Amino acid sequence: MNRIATLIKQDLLLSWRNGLVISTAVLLVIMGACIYLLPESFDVETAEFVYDASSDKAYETFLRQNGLSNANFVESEDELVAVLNDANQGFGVIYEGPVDDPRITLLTVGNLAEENINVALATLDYSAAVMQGKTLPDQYQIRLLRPPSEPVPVNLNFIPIAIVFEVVLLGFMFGAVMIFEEKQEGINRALRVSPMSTMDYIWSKNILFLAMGLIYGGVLIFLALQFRADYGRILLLIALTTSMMTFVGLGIAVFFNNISEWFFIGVGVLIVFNLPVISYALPTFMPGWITWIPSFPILFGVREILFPTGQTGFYLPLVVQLVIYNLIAFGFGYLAVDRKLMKAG
Amino acid sequence: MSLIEVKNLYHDYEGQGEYAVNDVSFAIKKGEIFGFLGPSGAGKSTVQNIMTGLLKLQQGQILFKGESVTDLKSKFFNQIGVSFEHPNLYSKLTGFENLKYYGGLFQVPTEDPQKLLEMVGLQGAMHKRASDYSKGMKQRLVFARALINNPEILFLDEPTSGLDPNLASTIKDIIRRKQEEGATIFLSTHNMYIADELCDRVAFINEGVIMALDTPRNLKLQHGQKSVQVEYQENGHVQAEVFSLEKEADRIRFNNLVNTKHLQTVHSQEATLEQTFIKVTGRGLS
Ligand SMILES: Nc1ncnc2c1ncn2[C@@H]1O[C@H](COP(=O)(O)OP(=O)(O)O)[C@@H](O)[C@H]1O
Ligand SMILES: [Mg+2]
Repeated sequence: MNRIATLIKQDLLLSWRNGLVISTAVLLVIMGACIYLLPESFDVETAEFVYDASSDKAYETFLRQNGLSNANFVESEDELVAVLNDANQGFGVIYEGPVDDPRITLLTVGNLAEENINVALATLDYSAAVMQGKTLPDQYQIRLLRPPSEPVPVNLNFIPIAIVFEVVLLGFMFGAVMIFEEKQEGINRALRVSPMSTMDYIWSKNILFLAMGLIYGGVLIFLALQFRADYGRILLLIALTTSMMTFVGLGIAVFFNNISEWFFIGVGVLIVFNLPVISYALPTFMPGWITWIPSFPILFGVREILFPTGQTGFYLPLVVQLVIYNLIAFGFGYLAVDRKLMKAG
Repeated sequence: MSLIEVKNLYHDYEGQGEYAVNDVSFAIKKGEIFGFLGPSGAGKSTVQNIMTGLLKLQQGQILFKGESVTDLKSKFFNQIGVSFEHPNLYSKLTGFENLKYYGGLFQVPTEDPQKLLEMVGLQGAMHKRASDYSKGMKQRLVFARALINNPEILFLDEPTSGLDPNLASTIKDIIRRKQEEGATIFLSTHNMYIADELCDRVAFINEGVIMALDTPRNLKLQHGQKSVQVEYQENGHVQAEVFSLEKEADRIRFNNLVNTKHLQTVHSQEATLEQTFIKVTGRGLS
């Protein structure tokens, strides 16, 4: 224990002087700044205007009963066109004719999504029918399977990516950086004639990076959500991820002598581990294989914990999966470090 | 009773039948300074590295207090101190930090880093990073690190190479003091003076083979040429001549000189360890 404590202190000092601690802190500051600098939403106000050209203004009356106010009504078609042109985005309705045979025209400006236009048309159909006193069959119904979730604010949506990306990088790359420096200095020959064991070596680095990952993740989540997050569950995921990536990172690094030899493999692994970010940003991109990348369930697990959509039962299987990955990664990391770093002639 | 026994050690780096160490056997007694003397490439570091477990034991046996070192692990590593030919340090740590953290790896009581640094003359550079040290300073720091756990056995690979005579003599004094405190020392060097002055016994090693093994004095007596250097007056000039006492013709001429001339000085010349080495192995130390 004393030996591991010594090694952790030494590794901490080295990562401080290496700039690894500082670069983590800088990244944290940048991510924290994004939370405050990004808007909470990119939504553009959609304007709605109605010109009721019928003689009895039946449509206007009906809409007023249903919550529209003066601001929504104009007195002529020209005025309608004018106010719509002033708005960035919106639609206008021209209502003509008698109640039993109305003519309804929809005018749009801006980048209205097709879905929104369809909804608008359906609403017009529906309101015309109601005005005619028809009762519609309950053909269309919405049942909520879960209570609706709050939409994730834009400035927080990237937090799961910022956490998983950094934690993967930290575990995988920092260990490699330290191994290459030690190899260059030949220090492992000195370590090998001391009572230090391979276990001491691996765990000291693992515990240090784990602590760094937890502090980084914890602070970032606090900046984003203050006390509204389930810290226990999220920090356990972060710990398991950092630890897994540290084992893998150490295990791979020992096969190389310096960053340039390691570069293609190392960066390749990092890219693969970050592919699920694409699915996160573009939910339509979700090929089956991408779900097999260990960071995939982590990324979506982190999001579900931070911004719950009401999914339940995903957490325990995810933890079990990560514990299994950790065991495999540890086995690989231990054997590789022991054979290639601690025993090689 | 031998503390360390090395039996029939072989080492082949490339696996192609070229032995860097070839059937080497020796035993180190508790409390002695045992030296390996040989030129660069003779196999000294290879033997030390096998003994400390840095190189795999391919063939042969190494016993520490009768137990094979391959079975000893951390117990063994708590009792040894190793100084390397090529300094290996955390360049981003200071001298003090290098010793402090290395000391933290041992389960036995360790020395005060500051005291060790003072001993090797690094007190002024204690809080400088090792990357700012000169080669000689690094060498001394590695030497000091080898002492951190008060080791029972010290493995010293070229401990004074690259040091100026003053510092080399400081290191020699420390090695002697460690011996007085009971440590056993295995020392490799290509420097005949170090071997001669420090070692209780010396093995001549060349091309991976031990060619001779004895006390420096015996080696010189057995293998060195005893000779006499004489100065005498002749025709108003001082003449000097060297006679080998092992050559019949030289002895007769020397006797003649003693009987017929007025000798001014007579010096018996013992062979140096290097001359002895050359005689035994057919090559020099450099
Ligand atoms: N890592 C290595 N790979 C291959 N050959 C080596 C290696 N290290 C040393 N040798 C060879 O082994 C022989 C003994 O080297 P070494 O033990 O370093 O000698 P010394 O310490 O006496 O100078 C030399 O011929 C050297 O070239
Ligand atoms: Mg050598």
